[in-house]
Amino acid sequence: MQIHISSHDGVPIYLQIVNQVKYLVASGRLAAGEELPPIRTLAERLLVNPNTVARAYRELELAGIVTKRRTAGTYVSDTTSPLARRERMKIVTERVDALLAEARQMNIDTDTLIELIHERSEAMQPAEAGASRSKEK
Amino acid sequence: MTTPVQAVFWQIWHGWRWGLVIGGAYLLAAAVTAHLLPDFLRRTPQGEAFLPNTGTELALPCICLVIHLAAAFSLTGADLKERGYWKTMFVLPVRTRTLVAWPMIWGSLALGCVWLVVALFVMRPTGNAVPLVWPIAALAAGLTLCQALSWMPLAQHWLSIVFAIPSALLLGMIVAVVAVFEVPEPIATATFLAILPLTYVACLRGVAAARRGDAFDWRQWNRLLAWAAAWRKAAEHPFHSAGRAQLWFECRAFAWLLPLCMAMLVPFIAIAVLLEPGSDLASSRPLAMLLLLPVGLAAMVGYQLGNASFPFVATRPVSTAALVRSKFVMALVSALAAYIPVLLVVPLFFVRPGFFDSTLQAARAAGMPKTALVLLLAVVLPVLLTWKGLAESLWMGLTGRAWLEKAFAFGFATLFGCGILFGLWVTFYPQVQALLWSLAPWLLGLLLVVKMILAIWVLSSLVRWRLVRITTAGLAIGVWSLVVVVLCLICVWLIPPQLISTSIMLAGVVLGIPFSRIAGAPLALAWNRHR
Amino acid sequence: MLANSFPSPDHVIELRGVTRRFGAKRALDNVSLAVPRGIVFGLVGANGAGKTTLIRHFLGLLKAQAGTVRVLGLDPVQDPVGVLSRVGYLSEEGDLPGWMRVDELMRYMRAFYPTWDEAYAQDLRRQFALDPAAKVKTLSKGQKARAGLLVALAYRPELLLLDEPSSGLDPIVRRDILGAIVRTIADEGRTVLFSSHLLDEVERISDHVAMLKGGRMLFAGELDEIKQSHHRLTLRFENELRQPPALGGALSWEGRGREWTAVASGRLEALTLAASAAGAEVVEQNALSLDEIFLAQVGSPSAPAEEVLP
Repeated sequence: MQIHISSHDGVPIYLQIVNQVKYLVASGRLAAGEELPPIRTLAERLLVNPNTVARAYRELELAGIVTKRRTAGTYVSDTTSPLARRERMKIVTERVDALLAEARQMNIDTDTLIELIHERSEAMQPAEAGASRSKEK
Repeated sequence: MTTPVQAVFWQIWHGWRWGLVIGGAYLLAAAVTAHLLPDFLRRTPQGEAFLPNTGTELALPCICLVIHLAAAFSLTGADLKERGYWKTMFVLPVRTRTLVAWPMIWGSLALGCVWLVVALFVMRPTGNAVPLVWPIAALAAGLTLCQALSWMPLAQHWLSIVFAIPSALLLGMIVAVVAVFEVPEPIATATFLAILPLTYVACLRGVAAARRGDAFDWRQWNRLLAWAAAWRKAAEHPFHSAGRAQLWFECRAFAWLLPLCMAMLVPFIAIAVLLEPGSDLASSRPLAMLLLLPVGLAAMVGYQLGNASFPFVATRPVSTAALVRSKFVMALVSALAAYIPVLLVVPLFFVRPGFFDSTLQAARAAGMPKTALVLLLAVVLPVLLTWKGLAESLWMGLTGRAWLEKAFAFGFATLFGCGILFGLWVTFYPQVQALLWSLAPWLLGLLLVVKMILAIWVLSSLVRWRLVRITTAGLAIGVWSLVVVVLCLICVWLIPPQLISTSIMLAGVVLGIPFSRIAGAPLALAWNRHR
Repeated sequence: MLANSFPSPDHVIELRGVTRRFGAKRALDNVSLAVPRGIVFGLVGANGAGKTTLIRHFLGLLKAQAGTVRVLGLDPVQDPVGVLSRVGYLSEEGDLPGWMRVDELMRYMRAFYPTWDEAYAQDLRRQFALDPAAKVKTLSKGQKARAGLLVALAYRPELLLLDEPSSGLDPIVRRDILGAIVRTIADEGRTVLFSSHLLDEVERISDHVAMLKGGRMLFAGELDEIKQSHHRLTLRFENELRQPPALGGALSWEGRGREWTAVASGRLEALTLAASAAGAEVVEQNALSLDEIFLAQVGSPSAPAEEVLP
């Protein structure tokens, strides 16, 4: 499990862990049923306060992404699919917001932008893009 | 800082100003006294005969000033541990020979001035015909030798002592030859001046090496050390208690200081004993000196032994009283160890012809009990006195306040100077002596009252600060009283009553056995620990 | 907030109104502090802000001229043994005696602490690659810090005090020290208090943070609360301003013309209200790192209103 902590952008560390675990689960790099490292191990590896890691795990548990099993240990939940989709959408939404803001600053309207997205998508991966577009429809 | 000379001067002045100020004040006082003394002595009966000796005594403290100046011009730090050239000056845009030459020249000039003042304004007015020029050259040679020894960068610091002893002996021998055989002044001066180029080259090479970060390293010694370190394993078993561990710490850190000083001095005493012609009881005087030498040294190194090693030790979970206890035990270990070198020399006295027989005779005359007691005292008393000397001067180091030490050194120097003048005054005026004798009981009484007040203050502070339990304080009073009573009994029995009046003797014993300085040690340490 | 019962059993360190002067200088000025059990407490402040002075009060090395100090419920000056046997301390200068060998140091320290764990100590010694036969004075600065850390950890103290543990050390030693803090705190009920300039370290491992400035406590509390109560706000004004506007809670300003960015402390809603009252619209708002909060709180000694712009 690769997590990178940065203390320069002001995001609380527990939130950084939560977001990155969510991302790893959403991107499939953490599969359902996989065990997360114990709190102490992760804290020592990241050099962060164990209480922070514990808090991140609590948040993740509340969000239903991980479950604590009785025999010690935290595992990625089996029922992650709806959540994973929501998370995926959330991640993409953030990127889209940034794109929209930049486009607005450069006086490019949304329709042009959508067209551009289609264009680029086809240019990059024609087969896959076509498939996903038909699915969307 | 416009020139390197000024930089050197600033460094020296900054580190050594107090000693230099005191030295200057002493020179002024000595010159004024020597100026007034001849007239003053002429007015007293047979006073004039004392004049030359008095002048010499007046000039004696200048040895301290000379040592201080030599240290100031050759050592980096005011504590004698720091040697080597002033490192901050290495980066100045100045040639190495400038760095070397100026402190040598100015140091020699300063010492020369001291000698000129002493010779012209102290010795000659008091009728001592002393040479003017060659002592200056000798002082310059001595100073530059000190500088060479100090500035030579040696990886093994103690090597400088090894080099120092033969070179100091050689210089001392030349001085002795010149002084005893009254070598003509130009030849003597030329001899000492001939040493200067040698020391200059040594200084230059040393400073140049230090400037480029080199040090003369004795490889074999390092290999020996590495071998010893590999061979020596720390004791496997843990300490029985925290007290043992602390005692080990104190002994390893401090206890060796006094025995080391003794080990360095005893060979010289042994040589002196062997050379001395006297063979009877008269040679018990050097024996007594030898036995009492650690006592004198104890007063000087006691301050060093009092160093509390804070803050490292201060954060150990040990009570202040326990820390002081381990200091006192360490002082005892140190005092005992200081007599090991003495024990090696004492047999020398007994192999001298006649000494043993005359001792036996004296013992027969005194009677069995007194002899036994004197023997016992000869064995026990020096150790106890050494311990007392160490223990009573620990408190100053325990306070960890450098200014306190300076203030005491200053006060002591002042008192010593005044004491000499006062002693002279008393010696020449018999009526003053009579007055003093009549006042003696009052003075002693006053001192006793001061001692009592101090003791009460110390005890009440100890109890108020909860540094010791009340039972411990009571025990301290009990032990002190017991020692005083036993000593009083011994004194009354041993010392003939016509020599000194009993009451004054008893008061002297009470004043001589320290109480506040020893009982107050926890107070001093607590003052250091909880600032 | 200080509990009403003093000293409270939940707090390993409690200070009330501690004032300390050195000559004319006030090193600590009416400092109150409560450190709960089982947390990592970061003490930050500029050089000379009084961090070391404060830590020396916890050890009883300094005596409070006014106010009270309680460490583990005891007064460290009245009962040094009771406090020091449960406290581990690593000083900035590394005051270990140079003549000791590493194994001698361990043997010496072991005698003072009944809770000394020799297996753990040997483990740490191997982990830190400390040669048992090496004299302390021959060790490098990093190895000295490791040796000091070893003897402060090996008796598993209830409270670990680290005074600038990582200043001037290389990243590997810093990692060792941070790892030690993490391990210490992972053991149940133990507390770490450390002072540091390296604010990203403090931000990584502290639960609570206190900031000192010129001997005064600027704030002390949970790191999250502190971070939530500081914001960077970018304001857009209707008219051009020649100097930073007056805004309650603003600590530092930068910008020109109509757009100004402030680092401000306070509740976000209150700040937004104050901004709109001053005739400005909040166009951007970000969270701040501890570093930025520190710079804003400590870095600009002159109040922005007094600044005269050309």
